[in-house]
Parts: sequence; C-alpha cells; structure tokens
Amino acid sequence: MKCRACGQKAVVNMRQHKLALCKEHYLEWIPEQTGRFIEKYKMFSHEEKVLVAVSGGKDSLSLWDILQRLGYQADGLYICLGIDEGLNYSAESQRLTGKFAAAHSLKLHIVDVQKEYGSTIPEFSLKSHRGRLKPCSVCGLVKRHVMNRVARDFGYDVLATGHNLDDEAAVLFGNTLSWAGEYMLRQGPVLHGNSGLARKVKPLCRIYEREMLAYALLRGIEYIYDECPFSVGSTSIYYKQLLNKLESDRPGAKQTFYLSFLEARRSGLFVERETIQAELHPCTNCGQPTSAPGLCSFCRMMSR
Amino acid sequence: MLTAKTRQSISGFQNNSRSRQRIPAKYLFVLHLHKFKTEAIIFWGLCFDFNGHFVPPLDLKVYNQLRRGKILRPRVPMVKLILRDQEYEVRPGMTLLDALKKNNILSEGVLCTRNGELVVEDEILRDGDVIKLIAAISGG
Repeated sequence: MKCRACGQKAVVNMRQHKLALCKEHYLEWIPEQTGRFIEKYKMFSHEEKVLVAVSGGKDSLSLWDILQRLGYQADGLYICLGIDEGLNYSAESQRLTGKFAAAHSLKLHIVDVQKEYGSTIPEFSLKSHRGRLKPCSVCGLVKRHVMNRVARDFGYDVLATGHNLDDEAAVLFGNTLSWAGEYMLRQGPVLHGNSGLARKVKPLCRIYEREMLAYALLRGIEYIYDECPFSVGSTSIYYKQLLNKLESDRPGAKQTFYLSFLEARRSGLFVERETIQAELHPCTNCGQPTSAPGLCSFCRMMSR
Repeated sequence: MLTAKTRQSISGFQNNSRSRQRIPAKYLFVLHLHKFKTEAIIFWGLCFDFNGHFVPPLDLKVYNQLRRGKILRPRVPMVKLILRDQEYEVRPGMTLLDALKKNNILSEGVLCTRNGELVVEDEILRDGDVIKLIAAISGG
C-alpha cells in the first residue's frame, strides 16, 4: 500500500477515509485534522489558555503534543490518583507525564489526591457508597472536581481532554442502549461552561483510537501501555470491542454512528428542555455548580 | 560448493540470504550438527548451509542417518504474532490481515509492527517474521 501524498510505502491505512499515508505525511495529517476540528466546533482560539488533562496515556500525551505543535497555549494537569495494585500504575504514569513535560519544556500542574484530600482513590471507594468493588465512579467524580477546580483557580479558559472517537462512540452506544436522553443531550465535542464550570472540549473526538496510537508510536511518545488495573472487564471496553467488530465489517460505521448522532441532535431530534439548564446551584462548600441545592456530590463524599 | 547445475535444480536457489524464501519447505530442516541446532538444506542426502556451502556433520551417527535418508525433523516455515503475552503462529505467504482474521484478532483494535516499524495489513508475511501487535483499546 502506498502513501497517497508521496507514493512511498504507507505505514497507516485508514479504511474509513480510504486513505493510506507514510510516516512523514501522517505526522502532518493528524495535527492538521485536529486543528480543523478545533476551529469547526469552535473549541478555543490561539489567545485562550488551555488546560490539558494528561493521564500519561497515548491519547492525552498526543493531544498535548499536537496542541503544542499547533502553537496553542497548552499547559498540562496531572492528577495522581494513588492507584498501585502491584503495578505502580500511578507512579509510572506520573513519571512518563513529567518526562514528556520536561522534554518539551511545558508547564505541568500536579495534584496529588492523597496529599490534598487525605486518601487515594481506592481508599475513597471503600468509604463511599459509589461502587465498593470498582472505584471508577469515585475516580471520575474526583477527576471532574479537580480538573474544574484547577481550571478555575489558575484562570484557564478551557479544559481539554484526550477523548477520541472510540471513547465517544462507546459512551454514546451505552447511552443509546438505555436511552439515557439527558446524558445524550450533553454529550459532544464541546461542553459549554458557565459561571464556575469550565468549558470542556475534546479536540480528538473525530480521530479513531487506533490512529492516535499510530500517532504516539510514530512520534516516539513514551506513554503508559499498561491498562488501569481497575478497567479490566469494564463495560466501555466491551462496547469498544463490539463497535470495532462492526467497524471491521463496515469501515466507517463508528464514525457515522457518532457524527449522525451529532447531526440528528443539531437538527432537533432531542429537543432541549429549558428546565435542565436552569437547575444548577453552587455547592455551599466548594462553590462548584451542582444539580441539587446544598453540598455537591464531591463534598458529600468528603464529609463522610 | 554446489555446482551451478545442482544450484539450479534446487528451485530458485540463489547465493544470497533472500533465497531462503524461495526454497521449498521440503528441503529445509533443523539439524543437530556439531551438537548445535542449525537450519540447513538437505539435498540428495547431503547437507548445505544457506550460502550453498557443504556442511559435513561431525557427528558420524547424524551423518549416517542423513545418508540413509532418516531426517531428524523438517523445519516448518513460520511467522509469529505477539499480542501482549500471547503468541500466535501462522504460515508465511498470507497477508497480515488474513493472519489476524485466522486468529480472531480484530484488525481495528491493533496496530502491527515488524522490527519496530509499523506495517499495513496488506503486507505479505515472510518466513521468520515476528509481528508485534499493539493493542489500541484502552480506557474504562
């Protein structure tokens, strides 16, 4: 297979785009596409300060690399969750993130959950009612809280995460199976912020996970290959496998599933109820917006 | 050394390393020569290395077995696929995509590398290739 741009031997073939590229042109193509989607979905401008949530995985490190190459003002945020499980998982991902930041002389904020809030994520999940066996729900709650807090405290305009198309399609698939309409209303490349809630964007939301892996490999980005020990057997990985099976028979199926959802919503398939937006109240403790009056779910967990 | 005529009679035999691919499987063997395991070509009961040089087996017992046509073990050409801690073996000559399909690996979920370089799924596998597969799916 040959590169469409130069005719040399291709290293990546994207069946959904009917496009094969060599290393050199692939490493140009990905930032170009990302830049195009940032503008298309009006995510942020070159003047705005971007906070990239970095986990040490291939997607977030690649996103940081791409934003930096495109000339955006992107700083990183690493949240140390204290997950060890005999793999030294958090310590290793922090090391790789720190190494990447140092090599590219980028600014990295580090928040250690244990130092700031007293317990690690697995310890929190044992105390909380949210899924005793799996800490994923607690982990998500803590990460959302910390990301929003850092973005607000340091005056960032926008918060960028490394969610790719596979992540988005898997979430959408899960929500479609249960027709979780309220979640589907909110899902998208840009989650608009309001007072106290930072704008969240997903610049990689149109790029397949496999393509992000190819970018990280070809760019020589050192990322953590091991999975989070708690993610084994998770529903979202199962959905991703199902969607990949569909994709292998019908190239482009994942992309169409996600994009036609966005299009359908834009043309009014899910009509937004006015009440949903109006129901946010500031938390009495931390001030971040929450759906019920009183403490937010993060502060409720902390007070326990 | 082989004579030019004998050389020709082993199909496609050439004096370079690429000739390995063209030698039919039935001529390739794993031998215990000099107490070491080596690969060799057996032709008319005689043993040659891949450059066409005659290899006299020092072990007389092995040599006699060769002369009598008792062959130790035919060497089967193989390609190895490695995904995390699992290994799969396939025969050379098929494309990478077919090899993945044969082992029920979805090509959408992996990237394939050979000697640290990415390869595309239409690549035809050659004997001795080691393909490392890198899983793309992550998250939770």
